[in-house]
Amino acid sequence: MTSTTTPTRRSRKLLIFAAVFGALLLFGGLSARRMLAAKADPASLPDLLTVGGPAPAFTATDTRGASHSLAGYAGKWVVLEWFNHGCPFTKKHYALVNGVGNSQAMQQEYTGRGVIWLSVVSSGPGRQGYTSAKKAEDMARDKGAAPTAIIRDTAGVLGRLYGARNTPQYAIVDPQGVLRYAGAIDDRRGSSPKEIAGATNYVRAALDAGLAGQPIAVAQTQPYGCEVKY
Amino acid sequence: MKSMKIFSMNERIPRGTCLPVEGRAASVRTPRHVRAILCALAGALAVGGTPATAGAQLFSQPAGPVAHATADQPVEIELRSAARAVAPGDTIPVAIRLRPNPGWHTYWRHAGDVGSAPVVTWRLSRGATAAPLRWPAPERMESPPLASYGYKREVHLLGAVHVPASARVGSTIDLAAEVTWVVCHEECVAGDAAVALTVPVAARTVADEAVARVFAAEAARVPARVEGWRFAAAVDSSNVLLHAYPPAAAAIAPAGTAPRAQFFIDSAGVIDHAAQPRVRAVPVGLELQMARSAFVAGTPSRITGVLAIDTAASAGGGTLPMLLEVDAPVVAMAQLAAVAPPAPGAGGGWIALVTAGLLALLGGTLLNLMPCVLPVLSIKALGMAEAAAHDRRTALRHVVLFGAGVLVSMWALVGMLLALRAAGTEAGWGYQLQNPAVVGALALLVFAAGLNMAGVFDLVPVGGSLSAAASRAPRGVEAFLSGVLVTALATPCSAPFLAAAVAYAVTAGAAESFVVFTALGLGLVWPLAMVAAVPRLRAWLPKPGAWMVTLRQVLAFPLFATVVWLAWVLGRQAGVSGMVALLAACTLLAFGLWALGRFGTLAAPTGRRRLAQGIAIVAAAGAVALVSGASAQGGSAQGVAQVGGAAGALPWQPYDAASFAAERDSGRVVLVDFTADWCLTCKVNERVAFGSGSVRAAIRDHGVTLLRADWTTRDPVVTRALAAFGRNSVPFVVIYPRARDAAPIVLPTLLTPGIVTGALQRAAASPSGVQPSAGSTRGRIQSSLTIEATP
Repeated sequence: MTSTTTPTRRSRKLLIFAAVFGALLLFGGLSARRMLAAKADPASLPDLLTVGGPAPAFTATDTRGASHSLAGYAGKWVVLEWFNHGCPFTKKHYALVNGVGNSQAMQQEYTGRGVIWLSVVSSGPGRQGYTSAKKAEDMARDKGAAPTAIIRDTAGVLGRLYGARNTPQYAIVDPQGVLRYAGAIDDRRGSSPKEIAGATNYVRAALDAGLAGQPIAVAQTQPYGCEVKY
Repeated sequence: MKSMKIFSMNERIPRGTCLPVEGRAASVRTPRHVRAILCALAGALAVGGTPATAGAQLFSQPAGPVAHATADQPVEIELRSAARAVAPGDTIPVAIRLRPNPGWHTYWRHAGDVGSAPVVTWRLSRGATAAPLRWPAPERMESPPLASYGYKREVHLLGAVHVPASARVGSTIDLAAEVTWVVCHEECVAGDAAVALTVPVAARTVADEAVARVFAAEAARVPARVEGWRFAAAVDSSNVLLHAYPPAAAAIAPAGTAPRAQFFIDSAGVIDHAAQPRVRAVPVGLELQMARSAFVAGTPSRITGVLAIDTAASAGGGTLPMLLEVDAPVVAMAQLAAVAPPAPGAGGGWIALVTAGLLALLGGTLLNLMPCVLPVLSIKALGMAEAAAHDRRTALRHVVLFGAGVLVSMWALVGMLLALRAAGTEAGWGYQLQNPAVVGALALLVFAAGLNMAGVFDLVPVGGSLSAAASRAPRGVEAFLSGVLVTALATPCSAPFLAAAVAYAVTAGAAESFVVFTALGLGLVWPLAMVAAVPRLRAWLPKPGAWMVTLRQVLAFPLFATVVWLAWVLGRQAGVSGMVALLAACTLLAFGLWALGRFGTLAAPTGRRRLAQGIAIVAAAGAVALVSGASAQGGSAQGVAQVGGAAGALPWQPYDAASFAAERDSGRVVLVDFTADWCLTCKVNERVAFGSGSVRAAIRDHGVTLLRADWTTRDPVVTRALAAFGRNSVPFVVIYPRARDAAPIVLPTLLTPGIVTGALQRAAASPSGVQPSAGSTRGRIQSSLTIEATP
């Protein structure tokens, strides 16, 4: 060592240096903390309704006067389909393209696989889409529709319970009573049946995955179509 | 087609597509007679309703530009042209006019909660092309809890048809459009029609002035993409915030009044269409707070739509509001204001830029102290000690060259970052270490620097004693290269400040990125510069002597330790063979440099010196070739870079969007660790925090799902997940509470066991997303959860 400084001067230097260093670290740490606190609030997370939670329990009456309760279908997959015979978007999915209707084919396939398919009419008396039970039956027969039953929800109780806003709109409940899908039938929000061929059908995807015991990739979408005429 | 007419018993019957397009078969895809047959068939097949009248109506419909409203169809459709004649090569302004009956409305390009946009398909003469439609700004149609965007008024959807230059004067251009639409009142009616008209080709274009005036009035309502406006959006669990900044500090709202604005979003599932936006003024701009849509998970990367702002003139209803096309990137909340333009004088934009610059300066300063720079800091300390032994000029020169090395590397980094961004690649801080070739090259560079400090060789063949070499002034090249080296090694250390400053730079423009990275470099350099520039500070440095040789040799070992770390990173990326290739390359390089040091000095005969230099060059080239060859096998690295390994018994699972969603669905607490092998801070966190017994116990007790998002090699899924938080660097650890709607807990950069257990406690305490309702269903749900949790 060839240093000319005295021991006291050197230790004072060291002290000052340590103080400056410490202050810098402290300042840095505090600022970083504030920074991170400021960044912690932008939660980018889904604000889902109740998908993944228990499906609201209900008991409803169909066009033949029979009663259907969700609890009664424990152990089975249940599809709720909001329906309005006059809505162009409902018509889109019941239109026969090359002799096949999109909704009819889904009803046939999935009821055949043990799924309970309930078409729900939530139109109130006097509102568009409201029909007598018999007319609803006749139309379904004419169209080749094959749901398990057509629910007459003339008071709109079931519709409001499931937050139905549009026709068509879907809710899928698993055998344990958990709501597993809610939303649109597919990703093409137009009214033309020509769109169906190129669309991603969320309801099919959810049912296929659910029946196979796989996780449901898209569990919630924004429905489209007409308003439900409560 | 007619098949649409199902369930039409008490519903209006839409007009079919069978409207024949007037005899210009050439311009229509389907020949007329085929269409007629199809229509007849369709009419016969129509079910319910009144097929006979519907059929009759279809055939009695006059062909031409107008499809009139009927008892069944409450909208009139017309194809209009603003040119009576068109010259070859010119453009015909056209429009589809939709006029709904009173009380009914048509829809905008995004309809909102109800209805759908009209679709126009053009059928044009050969060679003619149609420009995309321009949509006038819509109005909001409210029907709580729903809202949609459309037109109650008569609207012209503006288009343009370009006529080929080859069109013959005297011929005609046939324009036909197939239009499908939905109109709603309380109920909705769908329909479609073909409308057509013909424009003669003439020597020069003749405008239809009356129609042109109508089009011009409508064009004023078409939103524009206005130069100079800046937009940014941010999303949290309940709101979408949109910031809009005008060019210059133009006053948006009339003085003293609150700004008024509407936003018409372009896509579904982002905002709640029915909730009115809350508008407020922010420094030099405007903020719209909109309720988030309850329907869709995930965050969009951009938000597009139309912003309508009431101006001083339009507030009274005299003129139209300002109409702007918006394309806003989604950024973190904290960075919203950073998009504000640099207003002349003191504006919010300057403040954001200056803040980011200062943060970058501070971050750069802190980088001097980060663990991954510390080994290289030794080079600088030594260089400084050497320089201090000489005059002030030499010391200054050293610092300037070192600073130049740092800054040039920073600019190279920002250039690459911008180039990658322009090419659409997602890049972040430390991204360069995701490439095994870069890791290998860095390892060789650090290894060579270590050998140099250990005294194996000298870049400058002066010969002589070690002490002479140590006391000699550092050469400019060395100073510059040590600056480059320091930058290269500093980058993966995501110092707390860098995350924000770099994120700002990445989302901002090129000029801002440049400023931020320059500030970062200056921050890295200034402490050293101060020492060089201020004699009194320099006097603090110990006097040079023989001890410097010892120090220099001792400081070689942190560099060798850095090589070990880089070799491990490369091993994770390119497997054992890659790591072995690197070790072989190091051996080869060491041989070459030893030869250079032993025989390459000036004291050696010229021939032997030349040979030694040749051997060194060949060895270095061979080493680089070995490393780049190894990195070419990087593709096979994925298997090695799998999750697990040394972290031990903790059940880490690889992160991906599907597994994440499934785990969230199951109502468990989910911890996501964004990490990379080249990130030392991450490794420290994993040892210190996740290695501790209390954290392990908390993870087990709360049933926490552990997901590891590995960013060691480039992974777009992980990059996007980070971007959702406005981050592009690791470490980053976030905990999602049980309750789905609870905000995720972001942990600080440096973790202690206490921080992690505390956060897990809070996350587990939040109420579960699975809420009990009817007692009858509850038992079943419990069982479903266990089922979901098993696989």
